[in-house]
Amino acid sequence: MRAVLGDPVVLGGRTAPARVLFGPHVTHLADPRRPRALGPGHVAHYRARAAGGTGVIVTEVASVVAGDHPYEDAPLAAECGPGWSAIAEACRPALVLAGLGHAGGQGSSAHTRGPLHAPSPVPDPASGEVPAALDEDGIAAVVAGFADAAAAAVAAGCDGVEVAAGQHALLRQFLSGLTNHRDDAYGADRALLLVEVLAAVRAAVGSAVVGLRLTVDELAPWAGVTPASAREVLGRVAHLVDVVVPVRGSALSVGATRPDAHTAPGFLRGTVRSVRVDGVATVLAGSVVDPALADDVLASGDADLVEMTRAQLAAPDLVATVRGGAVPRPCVLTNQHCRVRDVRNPRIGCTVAPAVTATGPTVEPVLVVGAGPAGLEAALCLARAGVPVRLVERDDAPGGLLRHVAGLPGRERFARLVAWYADELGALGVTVALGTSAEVPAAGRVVVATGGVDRPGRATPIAAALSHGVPPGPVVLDDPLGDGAAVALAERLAADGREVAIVAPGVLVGPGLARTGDLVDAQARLARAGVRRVTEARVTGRSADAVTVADVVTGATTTLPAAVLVDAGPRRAPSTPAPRPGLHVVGDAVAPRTVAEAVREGRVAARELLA
Amino acid sequence: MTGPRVMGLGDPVRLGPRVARNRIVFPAHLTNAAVARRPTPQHAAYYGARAAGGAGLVITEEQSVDPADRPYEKLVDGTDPAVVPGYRAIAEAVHAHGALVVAQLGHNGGQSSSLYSLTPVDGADDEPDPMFREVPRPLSDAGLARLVDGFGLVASHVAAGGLDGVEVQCSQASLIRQLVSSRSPRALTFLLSVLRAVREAIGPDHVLGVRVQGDEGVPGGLTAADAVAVARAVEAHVDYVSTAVGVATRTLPMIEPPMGVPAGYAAHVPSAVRAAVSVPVIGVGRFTTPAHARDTVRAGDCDLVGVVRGQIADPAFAAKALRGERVRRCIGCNQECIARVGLNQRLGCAVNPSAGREAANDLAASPRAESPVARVLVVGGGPAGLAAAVSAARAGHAVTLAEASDVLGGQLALAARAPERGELAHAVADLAYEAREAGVAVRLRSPVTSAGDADVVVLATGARPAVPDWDARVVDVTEVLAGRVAPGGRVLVVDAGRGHAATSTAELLARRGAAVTTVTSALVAAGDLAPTLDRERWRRRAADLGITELTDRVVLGARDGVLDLLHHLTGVRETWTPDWVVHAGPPAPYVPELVTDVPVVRVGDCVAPRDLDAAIREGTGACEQFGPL
Repeated sequence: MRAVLGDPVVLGGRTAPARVLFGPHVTHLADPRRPRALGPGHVAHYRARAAGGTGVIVTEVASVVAGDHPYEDAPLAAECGPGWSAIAEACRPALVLAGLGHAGGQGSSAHTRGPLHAPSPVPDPASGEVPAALDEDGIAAVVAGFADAAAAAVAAGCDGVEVAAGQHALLRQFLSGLTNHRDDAYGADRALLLVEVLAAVRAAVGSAVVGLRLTVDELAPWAGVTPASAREVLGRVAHLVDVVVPVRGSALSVGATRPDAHTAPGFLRGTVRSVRVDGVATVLAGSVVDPALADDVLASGDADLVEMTRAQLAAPDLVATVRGGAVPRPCVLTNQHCRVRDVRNPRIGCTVAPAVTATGPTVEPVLVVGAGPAGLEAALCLARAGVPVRLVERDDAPGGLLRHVAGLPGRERFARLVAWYADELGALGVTVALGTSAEVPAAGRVVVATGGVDRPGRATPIAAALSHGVPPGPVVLDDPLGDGAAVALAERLAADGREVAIVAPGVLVGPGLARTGDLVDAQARLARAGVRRVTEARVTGRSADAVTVADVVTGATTTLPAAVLVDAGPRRAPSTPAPRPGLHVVGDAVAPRTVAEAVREGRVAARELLA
Repeated sequence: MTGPRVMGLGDPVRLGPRVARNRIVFPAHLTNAAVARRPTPQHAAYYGARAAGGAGLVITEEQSVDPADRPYEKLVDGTDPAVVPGYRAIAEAVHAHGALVVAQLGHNGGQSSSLYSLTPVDGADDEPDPMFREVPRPLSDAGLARLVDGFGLVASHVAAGGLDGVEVQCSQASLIRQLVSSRSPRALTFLLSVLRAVREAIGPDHVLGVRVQGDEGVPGGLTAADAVAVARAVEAHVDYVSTAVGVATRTLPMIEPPMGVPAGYAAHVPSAVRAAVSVPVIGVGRFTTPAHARDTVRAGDCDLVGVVRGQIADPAFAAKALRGERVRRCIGCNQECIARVGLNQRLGCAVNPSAGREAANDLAASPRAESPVARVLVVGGGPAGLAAAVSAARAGHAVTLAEASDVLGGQLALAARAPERGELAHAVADLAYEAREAGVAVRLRSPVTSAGDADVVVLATGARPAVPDWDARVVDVTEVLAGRVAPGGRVLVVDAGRGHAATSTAELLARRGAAVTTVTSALVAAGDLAPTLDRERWRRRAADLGITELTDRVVLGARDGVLDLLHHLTGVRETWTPDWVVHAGPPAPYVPELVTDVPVVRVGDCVAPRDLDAAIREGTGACEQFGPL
């Protein structure tokens, strides 16, 4: 069937070359010397997606007033003119909309060192900080800020703007009974500010595209925005906007806006259908990562465009690839490297698509030992460059540890990644020699991607628990690292009716999930599944049917029933051949870490071999 | 040992080829002032201010010797030759005021992350760090040799920048400490190679110091005896030895202890080292007043005394100490210098709003001859009002401060009544002292209804409790702290706000014999105490007092004294029937009716109820908002 996501679509009189949108997101790509401007890093980021065929690009949300400074390098509209120009220039024929917003009470006072401003003095659950209620002058400044920024963006060459009333947005806070307790006109009519802003923006930009990112479900029906209330708001503003991107989530549910794979792709489809209004192009956002789903949505008429932000982080050339009849590199929805609204300012990245270019002249044959993610990526990059590759795998299937991780709840998409690698390699004529062990030769070009090994100990290593299952009886998972694997294993065991406890040294189990946005949801799933979370504790003793744990601060001990103790602690690198030219050791064979490091190092090895 | 040593804080001390003018050191600490991994004008202004304030020796924050070593974003990469102009600016700023300045060099080893480098973490072994939780790649001998070169390269940049020397960190966050701690036979060889490489780079006319690790606070970890052994092994190569306790990624509260930890808690380390080596020894350990600093030197614990937070709070600490004057004291709140820095933000100080912003110089409270003297009425004697009064009076205005109650300090004074929080009162006392010295007329028991003859009014009236409308015996924490009620029996403390209010009150009541349970909707009990490093001590005390902590629960309401709780993760409902409910939640701004036609400036909690630092900062900056009078 012909893909329709690659068809053009008209928005506000301008033609987008495809029905796919690359949504606004935090990038930390700014030059630290000009932290509030859009710089060359941004231009390259958006250019790659435009070159890959995307239809609409919405740039990282820029604050419309200087008092809003939600993160250190949050763009400020007043400093974005040159950046918007460069992006618009670099991205043609894609339409470029400037993301404009104000984070309100969900901002940060760290950089302005002044109070936050919000509809009412309701503290944000994340920071606990009480904001000051915006007064009339402040509201007027916000309206003017949106209008001025919109005019500047269009003057800079953007095709239009997208107004932020979704997650992290003052305009949503005004719309919501959770955060708007005002007794003035802006409380009596909670949509008044949005209407004023959109009217001012429309007046400022004339016929350019006006987009609206709108929360249509705060998942808090007792006071928050609901699809019904949002539908009414959309009806009121329909004459002012050309395109709307419905999203979900409030300050109480930030993780629900761009969730990981625990939430089904396309989860907003039904909601979007119910809030659509005539005359406004509607975009389905929300974990739309598979071209097949996107096509189905578009063909069915449930939406006019699809937002595929994370899918285009994994595959910048998604639209072009689909047009060419091929399958793009799949997004695995782990959120490990793309969810970077994080005070540490990590640059945006992708678990499966490292920012490393591995191309070069064809070289002599390469032996890749191990078909886990590191070996698969190295082999694929080399094969694509025309290098004869021999890929051997000791196991009877490719994927390494990922095969087993893919059996855990919320991690199923890793199987898709492994299958994609195998298909891509097969299309290039590379077969994985399964059930084959290879000695690493003393000469020649070799990539060693043999993975990690278990540490010796009396407990059941987590890798063995994943691949071979866990013997009967109560299970205690000793999880000193907290990268999420133990949490997922506990969920699976609990779903099988097992009695499970996780012991963690920190204040929460699975602290590594903070990065993926799943930390809070994971605690809730574990609590509902009856998994005992023993925090600020370490395992100090073990008998045939019990494990003793001690509080890391007070030393108080607790005994947990345990027929099985699973060691989810660090694995170890195997001994590898002595370094020599042409030999590249990658992934867990260097130091056991996550799939992202494995893929990255596989590609780095290929780059070095091709150099 | 070479005979009795000079014991006065103000006595000069020889550090190899150079002489420090006194014994007060501003030791290395993170500032997050770097931009693009280079030192900035803020570094120069920051260190320069402490030199101007009288410090004898300034030691910069760590400069990394390997571009891939980057546990936090704003770590300076000393290997980049582009750092040299920044070093030169620091040297000039410090030398202009007669102090010495050395750069600390280090490598964080396994106490790091690949978040920025995107390459494997290089560690002493493959044990993951407990904070970063990432399995390192053990450094090979060739890898260590490369790092020796890195130390030499950065040392050459330091010398080129005109600093007085180098300090090699082997302590809180250091590959060298990791090697020593794991009893690696490579440890001393590597350290000696590093010292030789640095000495070769800087020559005999620059100072070379080393910071050694004493007590790690970890079972089986390093102790003072290990610090002595390392110090002895390197003594012949260095001009001074500095000391440290605690591991930055494991036992951080030992390094930067919060209020309640006594001065000199770490003195056993420098005193043991000092007894064993003949080079000068620097000691550290919460020396927040001149008396603390003087006493530890006089007692012979160390030759020089490191004062970090004391000099952040009062840049003129050293000069005032030597003159016998009173300083604005560090209160050990750790809000701005520790918690903020841990969040990748610029260092600040709750009691000194200029700290961390020296280059901007936007809160300078200097008299402005061109502006006319105004009659300023400050309403409210909490920290915001006191700070406003001080800065207005110093700017030359005629200031009256009116406080409705019979004491100064507002909520800060109340908070100081809780166990282990008494040092908060130092901030009130120091501001009140400065207000008197600056000529502020302080009027207690003076509610204000009109501006009187004032030309400008500063409203610093704070916030008032917002107690929920539950059908139970509910009181606000401030009522308890003020002593107006004395809950006993079974007490449920509802932590619905942030900070210490709930935990402090819970502890106060438990000490009085109440059976206390705390409840929070957060996933972690007393979570706000972690960033300021108060949480560990709180947990020990709470355990000793039998305080029970409930998490993940929202109080939905109460009827006939029975509270209805929702465990929000599971949806399970519970009831709770305490004798008293003590509520700690966000208060509401309090803005009194005021009949006036003169300009009114609002500062602190009456704008939006926030932390101590916001109150003092806005109060201090109030003058800037006066506008034309």
